[in-house]
Amino acid sequence: MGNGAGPVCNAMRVLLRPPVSVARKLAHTLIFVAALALVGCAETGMRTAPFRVRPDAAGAGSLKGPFTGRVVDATTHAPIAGALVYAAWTLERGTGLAEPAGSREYVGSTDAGGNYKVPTVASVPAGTRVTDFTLLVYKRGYVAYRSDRRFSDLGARMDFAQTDNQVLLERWRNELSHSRHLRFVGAGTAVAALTQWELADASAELEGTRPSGEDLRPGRGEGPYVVAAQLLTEADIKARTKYDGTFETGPLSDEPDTATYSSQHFKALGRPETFDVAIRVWHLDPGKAQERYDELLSQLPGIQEKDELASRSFIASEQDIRGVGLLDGPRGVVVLLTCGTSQCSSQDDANALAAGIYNKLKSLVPVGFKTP
Amino acid sequence: MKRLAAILVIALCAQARAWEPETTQAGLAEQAALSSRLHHRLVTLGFTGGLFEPLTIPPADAPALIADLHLLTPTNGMVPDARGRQTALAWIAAGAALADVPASHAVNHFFDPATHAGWVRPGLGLRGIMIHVGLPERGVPAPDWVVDKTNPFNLAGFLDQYAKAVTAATPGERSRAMAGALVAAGAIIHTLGDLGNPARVRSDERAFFQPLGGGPDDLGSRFERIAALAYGRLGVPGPSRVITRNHLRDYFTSVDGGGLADKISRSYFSANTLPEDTRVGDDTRPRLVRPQPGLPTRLNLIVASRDEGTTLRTSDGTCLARYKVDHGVLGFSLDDDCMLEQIAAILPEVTAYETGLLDFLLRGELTLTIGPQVVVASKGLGAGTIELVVEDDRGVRTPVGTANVAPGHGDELARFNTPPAGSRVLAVFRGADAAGEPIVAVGALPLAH
Repeated sequence: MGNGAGPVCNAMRVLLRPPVSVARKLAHTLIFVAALALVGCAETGMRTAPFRVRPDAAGAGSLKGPFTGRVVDATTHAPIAGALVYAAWTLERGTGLAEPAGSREYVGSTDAGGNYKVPTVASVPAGTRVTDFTLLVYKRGYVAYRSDRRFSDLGARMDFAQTDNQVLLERWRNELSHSRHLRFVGAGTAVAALTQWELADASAELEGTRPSGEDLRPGRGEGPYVVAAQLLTEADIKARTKYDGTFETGPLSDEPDTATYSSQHFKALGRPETFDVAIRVWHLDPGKAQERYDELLSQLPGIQEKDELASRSFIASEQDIRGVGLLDGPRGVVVLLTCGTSQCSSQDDANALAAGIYNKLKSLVPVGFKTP
Repeated sequence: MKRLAAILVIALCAQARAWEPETTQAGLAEQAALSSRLHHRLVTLGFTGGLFEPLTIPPADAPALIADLHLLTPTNGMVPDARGRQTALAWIAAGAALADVPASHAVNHFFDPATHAGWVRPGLGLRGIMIHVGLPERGVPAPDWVVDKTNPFNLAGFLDQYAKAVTAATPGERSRAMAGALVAAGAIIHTLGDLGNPARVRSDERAFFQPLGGGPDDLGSRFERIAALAYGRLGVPGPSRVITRNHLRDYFTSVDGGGLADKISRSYFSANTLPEDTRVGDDTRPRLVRPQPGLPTRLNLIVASRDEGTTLRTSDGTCLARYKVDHGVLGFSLDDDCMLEQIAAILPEVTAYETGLLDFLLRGELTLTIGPQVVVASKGLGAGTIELVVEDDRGVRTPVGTANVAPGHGDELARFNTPPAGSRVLAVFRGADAAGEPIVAVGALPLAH
């Protein structure tokens, strides 16, 4: 179905990531240096940790653990539930010319609030020592997170903390390199299974048959990008529908975000799919936006053209799903909102959410802004 | 660089070993693989995913190898799943990591071009006797180790598995053989790459017993630990260029001084091969342990007399050593920042040599043309044997024929009758190249029936 309309589900605003000031970066580095300089030498059997105990503390953490933190969407700062949390402790033995001596692993996932907790490492065999700890967080649709390295430049990560750590997961974008990502993620049965889908694209990159390398993540290219999660939030939905449950949020799994497409899925935890909400947004040249809108008109069931919102709009329905589509011609933006009937008990609910989306769109995307 | 320097503070309390197998060595191998012809070779031979093709070594077929792989940390990308499966790229990185397992093999990754000697266990007094338990007194010099019969990942093993990865009957057998070949290739390029550490090529084994602060047993090479901390696996730089040589040994050492060991040995000091302390006088000329690297005609003894001393640099500005006059004595030292500068200069060279060596291992290419007969041709090969196999639609390969290739042949090596059925033919040459080096050359072509 590609970027077309899916059978169900889920929001957006322009993302201009504020640059981190040089002074702030410097302060951060100095804190880290100070933290390390103050560290005493490691106890035998456990190397000194190259990270802080807490983000706001100068003292070094412990490789032993425990480790706690929260995983959120880097764009929306919404918690990410169900992300794989994979931790590994490196062991080694010997003196002078030491050798690998195995590892200890922990596999878990984030809770509904995006929180994780990795317990203290189990005992290690006599004669071995713990020399490293690595935390990996992965969820499909996002760039993986490592506690030791950054994906963007593969440089050393300086902001990991043993406790109260914050993991910002950036959304995967088509322009990113799968071969780089697979190297970054590493192995481990649980992780390998989740990243199998990237193998073919990674290979195609090396063959030169898939474009890669351009970094078109929000805020990294020229001008503002339209990100679905900024047009519709969990709070917007709950304010309208009075839903009291919890959503797991993230991009829809059909297609990753690109410079011209973005999606957000609000998956109701512990509830049927009819409580889900989804938003898809295309930001195109005006002519192509018109074509995209016409495609939706021809593809979706139960279409009724209303033209009550933006340049043009429609409502659609199929069994227990309600939909609202709109075209903002001057901005070259097409939006498709889908909402299950248990969440949007009336078409008015869906229409109200769509109206809110359009209001945000108008405030975030200038008219005449050329798409990336 | 400042950020990297910040990380190094923890080296004071860290354990060290060779270019660390799971970080630096694995990263070097990955960069070499990505920069070499390996991906395209794999695709040519039917491993369509190239470096990202999943390859399997069933644990039951190689329990010792799989057990060793489980000594590695999964997040570093080199531990196969329960079926023994991981990508080709992961297998070659795994080979690079396993070359140091057990540690008694790691002593074979030293070579001093001045003496042609490998590892010699240093004497460190009574305490040394305690901590040396388990490490051999002598090691096989690195250029000899890669062809040594006792090396489980030697050249002969690589060539054997590489040929089987083409001729074996079933896809499963070929997958297993190619994974085995890549493990051996990773270990071979590791052995070369280790010679990027000046201590390993200047007979400075004592540099591997530097107290690092993490306890009485926490001794190792500070230089290599710094590299691991600064670059990890993922941050290892790509090659500055690709080194080409005609002989395997020439990548390590050669009479023209173009081997990695030659180059590093004459370009850098190591911790215990610095110029000797010298009392300052009318003609202050510190004695050198080795002729190279040399010292400038005049050292800046005025600046060296300040509290912070000064720096000796190479022509391209890389720190070679710090020097300082203290109580009338000129002394030299290597600090962490200086070593970090050296590592930044050395690692791209190491990758260049490793990429070149990997391309050398894979250099043999056969050209196949199909008419009434399949003609196998190549340039630069000596005597050997050619085997032709045909692959059917199920991926099963069966022998078509073999032919001997005599010395002094032309470009055409052999002719075979074209198989009446099959999807493609593949040829393997086992023998020597024109320079007399062992080689396996391969080629493949689709059959159009």
